[in-house]
Amino acid sequence: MTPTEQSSLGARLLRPVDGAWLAAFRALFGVTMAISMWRFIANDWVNRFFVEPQFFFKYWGFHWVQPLSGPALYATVVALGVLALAVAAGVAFRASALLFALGLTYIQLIDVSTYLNHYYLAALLAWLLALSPAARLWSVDAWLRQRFRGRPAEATVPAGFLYLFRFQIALVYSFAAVAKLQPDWLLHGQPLRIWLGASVDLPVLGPLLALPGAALVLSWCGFLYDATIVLWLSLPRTRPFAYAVLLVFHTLTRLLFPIGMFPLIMSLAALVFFEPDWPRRLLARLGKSVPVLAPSLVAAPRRGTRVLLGVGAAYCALQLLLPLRFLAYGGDVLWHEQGMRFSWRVMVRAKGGNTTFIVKNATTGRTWYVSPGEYLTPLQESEMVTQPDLILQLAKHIRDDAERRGLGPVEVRVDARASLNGRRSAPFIDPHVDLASMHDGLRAQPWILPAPHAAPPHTRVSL
Amino acid sequence: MKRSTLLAYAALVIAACKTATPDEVFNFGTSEPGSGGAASQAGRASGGGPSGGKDAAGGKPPVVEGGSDGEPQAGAGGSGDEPVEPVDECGERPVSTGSFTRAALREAAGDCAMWHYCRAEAAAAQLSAAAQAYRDEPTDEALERARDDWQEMLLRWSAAELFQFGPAGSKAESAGKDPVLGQGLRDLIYSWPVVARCRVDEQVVLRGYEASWAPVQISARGLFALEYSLFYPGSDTACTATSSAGKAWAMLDEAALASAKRDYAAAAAEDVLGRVRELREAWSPQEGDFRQTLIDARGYESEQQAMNVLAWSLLYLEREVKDWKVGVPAGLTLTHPVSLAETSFSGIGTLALRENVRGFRSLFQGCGEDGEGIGFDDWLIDIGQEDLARDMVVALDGAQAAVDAFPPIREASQSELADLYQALRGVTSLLKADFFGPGSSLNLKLPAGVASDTD
Repeated sequence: MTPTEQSSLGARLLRPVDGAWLAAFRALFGVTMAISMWRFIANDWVNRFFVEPQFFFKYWGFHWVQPLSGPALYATVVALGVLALAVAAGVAFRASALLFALGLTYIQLIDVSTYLNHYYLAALLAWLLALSPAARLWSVDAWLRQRFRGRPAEATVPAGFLYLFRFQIALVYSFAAVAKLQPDWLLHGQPLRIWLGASVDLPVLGPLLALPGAALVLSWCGFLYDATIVLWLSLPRTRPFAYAVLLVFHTLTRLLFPIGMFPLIMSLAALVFFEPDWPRRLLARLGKSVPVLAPSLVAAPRRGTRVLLGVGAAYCALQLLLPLRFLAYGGDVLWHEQGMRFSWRVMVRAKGGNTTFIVKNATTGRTWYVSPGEYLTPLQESEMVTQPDLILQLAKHIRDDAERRGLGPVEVRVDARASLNGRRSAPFIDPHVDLASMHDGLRAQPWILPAPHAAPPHTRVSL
Repeated sequence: MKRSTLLAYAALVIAACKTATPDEVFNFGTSEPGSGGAASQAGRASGGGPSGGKDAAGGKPPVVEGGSDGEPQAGAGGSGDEPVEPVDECGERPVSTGSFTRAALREAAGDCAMWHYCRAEAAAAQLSAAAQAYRDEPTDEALERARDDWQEMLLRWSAAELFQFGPAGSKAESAGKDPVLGQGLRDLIYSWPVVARCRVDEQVVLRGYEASWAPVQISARGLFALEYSLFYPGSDTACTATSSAGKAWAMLDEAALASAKRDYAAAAAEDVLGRVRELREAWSPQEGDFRQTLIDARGYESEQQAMNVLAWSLLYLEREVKDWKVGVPAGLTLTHPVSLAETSFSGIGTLALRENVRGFRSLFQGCGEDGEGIGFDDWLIDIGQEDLARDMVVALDGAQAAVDAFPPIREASQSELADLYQALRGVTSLLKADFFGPGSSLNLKLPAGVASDTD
C-alpha cells in the first residue's frame, strides 16, 4: 500500500460520522448484558457453572485463572449486571465498560466447558465498546460534561469504529456460512434433522417441520441466509427487507433452539449496518424531537484515535485468522475440534459421546474404571466427552489425583466414543495412548482418531 | 376414555376378583396407613404359603433362601414358613400393543410405572403389617416374616427404581431425575445411597418421628431404615458418644433399645406404605392424574422435555447400578461416591440388581415379562435406527444373563464383580454414546444439557 493510499484509508477511517449509532448500540447492548447477568443469577448458573464443580477445564495459556469463592462470584455477576446498566446509561462509561469487559472475560475464562460462541461474541463486543467513544452522545457522562463544564456533547465518532463493528458482525455471519459448507449440512440436512424432530409438537410450525425434506430445505435456507445477509444489509435498497428477514430468522431460531441471548444480541448488533444516524431518523419518525447533527458538534480526530485504529487493524487480522486455523489441522474440525472455538461454528454439529477413563498402576497392573462423573458435573461431562483437549486435561487430573491417593504411578487411557450428527458412535481417542503422558498444546494431536466416513443417517421424524 | 384404558381397567378388575374376595378388593385401596391393608391380611390369612407360587400378575415365584436366586439372609432364626407373596390387584403386566407414537411411549411407560407402584403398594402393606406384628409380638418368627416382607418390598421397589419420573422423581437437578414435575417421593420410600445409620439411630432413641415425619431426613427413613432396624444384629450406635443420640442410646438397656428399634421399624414401614400410596394417588386418574399429565406432556416446556425426563430414568443403570452398586464393591472407582453398599445388612444385593435390570428392560423395551410392548427401542425403530435398537437389546440380554448368573454379592470375587461391571458397561456405553446426547438421532439430552444455553 502506497503512502497515499495509506493516508486515504486513514482519512476514511477517521472521517467523522454521526455517533448516534454507537450510542444506541451502547444502550441496547448494555441492557442486553444486564439481562444476561440476571439470567445467570435466575437460572442458578453461577452455582452450577462455577461453584458446584470440583475441577475446572482451563484455556490453553490461561491455567492461572482461578474461580473466586461462591459469594464473590455471585457478587461479581451482580456487579457485572450493574456495570452493564452503567454502560447502557453512559455513567462513568470508560471505567464501567472496561470493568464490564474484564469481568465478562474473567467469567468465561474460568471453565472451558462453559464456552459458547455467543458469550465469546458478547465479550468481544464489550471490549470493542469499552475502547470506543460510545459515551460521547446520549449518555449521563455527556450530560454531566455539558451541565457542569459547559462542554457541548460531541456527536460524531470516527468512521473506523463503525467499520470495526460491522466487520465483527459480518465475520460472525460469514464464518457461520463457511462452517455450513460441508456435506452433513448441505446434503444430509444434519444436524437440523435431529433438532427439528424435537419440535414437531409446536403449534402451526410443528407439522411443517415434520415434512420430509424440511430439514434439508431449512439447512439451505440457513446457509444462504448466513452467506448473504451481510450483503443485503450493506445495500441501502435491500437493507430494510434484509433486517426484517433477520428478525424473522432470529425469532425462529430462538423458538426452535435453546440459544439464549444470541438471537437478541445478533438482532441488535446488526443495526450497525444501517446509516450511522439511524437512531435520529427513527426517533424523528416516531415524532420525537431530535436535533439533526450540527457541524459544531463534529469532533476533531484525536491523537490516540490513530493508535486505536492501528489496534483495530491488528484485531481484525486476528479475528480473520483465528477461525481459519482449522485449515492447519486437516481432517474434520467438527470431529477433532481443533480450531473449533472462537470460529463462529454456530449450531453446526450435534455431538455426544461417552468416555471412561481406564487408570492402571504401572507397577502392579491394578486397574480402575473411572466415570467422568466422579470428577465433573453433568454439564461439564457432556461438554468434555466431545472435546479431546478437555479429555486430555481430565486424564492428567485423574493421574494427579490417583497419585495423590497413593495409587501411583499410573497410566491413564480412555475408552472414548463419540457420535456426530446422528451417526452411530465411533472410537474417538486412541485407547492405547497413555494420555497422562501426552502434552497439551496447539499442535495437531495424533491420539485423536479420524472421523467416521459414513454419511449421517436420514432418520425419520416420530410423531 | 381410550379403549386400551378401558381394557386395562377391565383386566385389573378381573385379576383382583381372581385373587381376593369382593370385600378385600373394596377395602384394599381404602385402608388407612398402618392397617396393613385388607389385601395383605388376606394374603397372610391364605395359609402363610406362597399361594400357588405366583401372584395374580403372573410374576416370579417368591424368593426363598437357598434357591437358585438365593442370597445369604442375615440374622438368626426363621419362621419355618415360606415367604408370603403379597396379594395385589395390579393385574397382568400392562403390555401396549398399538403402533408407536411418542405419546404412546409415554402412556406405556406410565402404565408400567403404575403397575410397578401397585405391586410395591401391596408389598408395602404386607411389610407394614409384619413390622407392626413384630412390634406387638417380638418373636423370631415375626422378625423373620418382617424380614421376608422387607425383602419382597425391596425387590419390587428395585424394579420400580427405573421409573423415577413424575411424582417419584427427585426435583433436584443434581439428581438428574425430574426437575420439572418431580416430587421426590422415591427418596422418601428408598433413599439409597443417601443413607446414614446414625440418622436412623437418632430416630430410634430420640423418637422425633412420633411428632411428625416432616423433619425426618431421607437418610433416616424408608426401606434403608427398615433394613437396618430389622437386619442389623448389633446393639451399638453409629452416632458419637457425645451426641444427644449417643447419650440417649447409652441410657437404654438392650431390651429397651430393641423395643425402640421395633417401634421405629413399625412406624417407618407405615410411613413407607403411606408414601407409596401417595405416589399411587398422584398417578391415579381420580387424584393427581399424573398418568394423563405425562401422556399430554403437560407442565413440561415441550414434548421433547417430557421425553428427556422419561429417558433419564434409564440412566439409573449407568450411575446407581454400574458405578455405585457394582463398581464400588469391585474396587473400580477411584473416589468413594457411596458411603454404604446397598443392602449391606440383608445381603440381597444381587437380587436387587436383577430387578434393576428387569426394570430397565420394562422401560427400555416394553413392560412385558420379556420386553413386549412399546418402549424406547420402538422409538429407535420408528426413526430408522433399527441397528441401534437391536444392539442395545443384545447388550441388555448380555447384562441380564450376567446378573442372573451372578453369585450373592457378598460372595462375589473382584474379578466376578469386574465382569459384571463390563457386562453392564456394554449397555451403558451405548446408552450414553448413541442413545442419549446431542449427537443421537432421538435428540435426548442428558440431564445437564437441558437448563443451559447452547449454540
